[in-house]
Parts: sequence; C-alpha cells; structure tokens
Amino acid sequence: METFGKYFEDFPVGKTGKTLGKTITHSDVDFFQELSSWPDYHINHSRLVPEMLVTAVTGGLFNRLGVYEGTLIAVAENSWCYFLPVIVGDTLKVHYTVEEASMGKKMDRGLVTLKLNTYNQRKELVAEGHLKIMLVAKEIKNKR
Amino acid sequence: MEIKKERSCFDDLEVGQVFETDEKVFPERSLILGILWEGDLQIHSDSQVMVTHPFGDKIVHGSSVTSMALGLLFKMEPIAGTRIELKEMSCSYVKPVYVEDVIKACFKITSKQKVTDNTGHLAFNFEIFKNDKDVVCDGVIVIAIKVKS
Repeated sequence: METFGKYFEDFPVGKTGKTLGKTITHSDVDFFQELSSWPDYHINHSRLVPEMLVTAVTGGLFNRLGVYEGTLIAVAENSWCYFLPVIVGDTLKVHYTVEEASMGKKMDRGLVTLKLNTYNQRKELVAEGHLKIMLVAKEIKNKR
Repeated sequence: MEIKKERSCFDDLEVGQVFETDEKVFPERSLILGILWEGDLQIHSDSQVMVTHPFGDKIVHGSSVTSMALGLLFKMEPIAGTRIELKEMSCSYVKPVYVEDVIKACFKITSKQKVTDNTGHLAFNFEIFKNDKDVVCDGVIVIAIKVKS
C-alpha cells in the first residue's frame, strides 16, 4: 500500500502545528445544506456557517498538512465545542496539538488524540475539537 | 380566522422527549461532498485499497453521517423553524457507513437549562442507525435555542 501520510510514531505527545487557511463561501454552505438539509440561518444580514461544516473544514485543513493520507485506518471519536458563530467570508485556520498517543497490542497501529483549535481571521477561537484517530504504525509498514 | 401557531422553542421541549427522524439514503454524491472539505483520506475514495481494508469498501465520512442526522432532527416538528445553535457535539463511530446505506437517528433530551433570559440549552443523547438495524454512531449534542418571551 502506498502511503503519503505520517505514521503513529510521528505523533509524539506535545507535538504542535498550524495549517493554512480556508475562506468559507456561499457555495460551501449551499453544498453542505444539500448534503445535510441543515436550515439556513442569518444574523445581521450575514449568513451563518453550520457548525458541522466548521468541523469538516477543520478536518480538511488538518489533512492538507499531508498528515494522515494513506495512514489513517479510522476515526474513532470526534468531540467539539463551538464558541463563536462563523459567517460566510470568514477564513479559518487550525492549530493542532497531540494530546495522547497509545500503541496497539499488535504494534501495527496506534490511537492518537489530537486537539484542534479553529481560529477565524481575527485570531478568535471559534471552535475546539478532540479527534481520536487510528493510524498505521511504522512496524506494519516495514512488514510490507 | 386562521390562528398562526407560535414557533416552538425551549419552553415547549421536555426532558425525556424522544425524536425519531425520517430515513435518508446516502447517495454517492454525498461521498464527494465529504471529500470536498475533508479530503480523500484514501478510505473514502480508493476502491482498490479498500478491498483489502477491514471496512471492505469506500466509506462515508463520519462527520457527514453526523451532519445528516442532525439535519434530519432540525427538520422535525416542533424544532423545525426555530433558530438552532450547536454548542457541543461529541460522538463515537461504531460501524462504517457505505454509499446507498439508509440512515436514521434517535435523539432523546437528557437535560434542559435556561442560560440567559432569551436562550436555553438542551442536551440530547443520540444514536444513528443504518439499514434499520446497526448502530453506526452514538453521542451527545448540546444546542442553544430561543426561550419564549
């Protein structure tokens, strides 16, 4: 199996990093609503971005770091708190921290818990997530 | 004379109330939309690789499954039409969802708290099912909703 992402061992506890940004457009919200049937909300003539779209975009920004493309086995848990509204036109960036990492019994995979902080262009924290993911370990790579 | 029903809000919802959503099929298009924001991640688009993966086939993004379930809840009476703000969402993915799977969800209100004069918080436990049997995801959400003035 060809992989481009990083392995379990590449995520030591305490590791941090930042992503590039993404500006949320009306089309993003339109497509999200087509997928999910979420209602359309506005405040002060600004269109709100559904919170779960903020979560999806955050995951995508993190993935654009090339972190787990091809090495992700599964997402086990996903927990989010949303602090501020995000509106169309806002640009999101993500800071991540590795909070936990535990190797599986067979030494072929491990669980990593990431804290993902999502900021808008004013550097305000709009959401915080904890993502528990299962990643391939280097041990299994060496067997292939 | 027609009497317009006042939109439901925090005061009309009670702890213990259960909402069973309609069913919805995951079309292939929804897989593409997940990839649009979250990326490929191989497990969502490479059929050749997924044949040898424990899941056996391409799977739908977990957040797309949760988003669709929440969308189904927000369409239900008496919640529909009320401004909902998602404050917290926490879930575990128990089983994979594939294209053409049919999902539905069950939400139960577990707590209710007025936080300001205008807003209340409601917590729900939820389970998402596929094809009318398997639980694929379970978790908790907290939403903010308008308090009747």
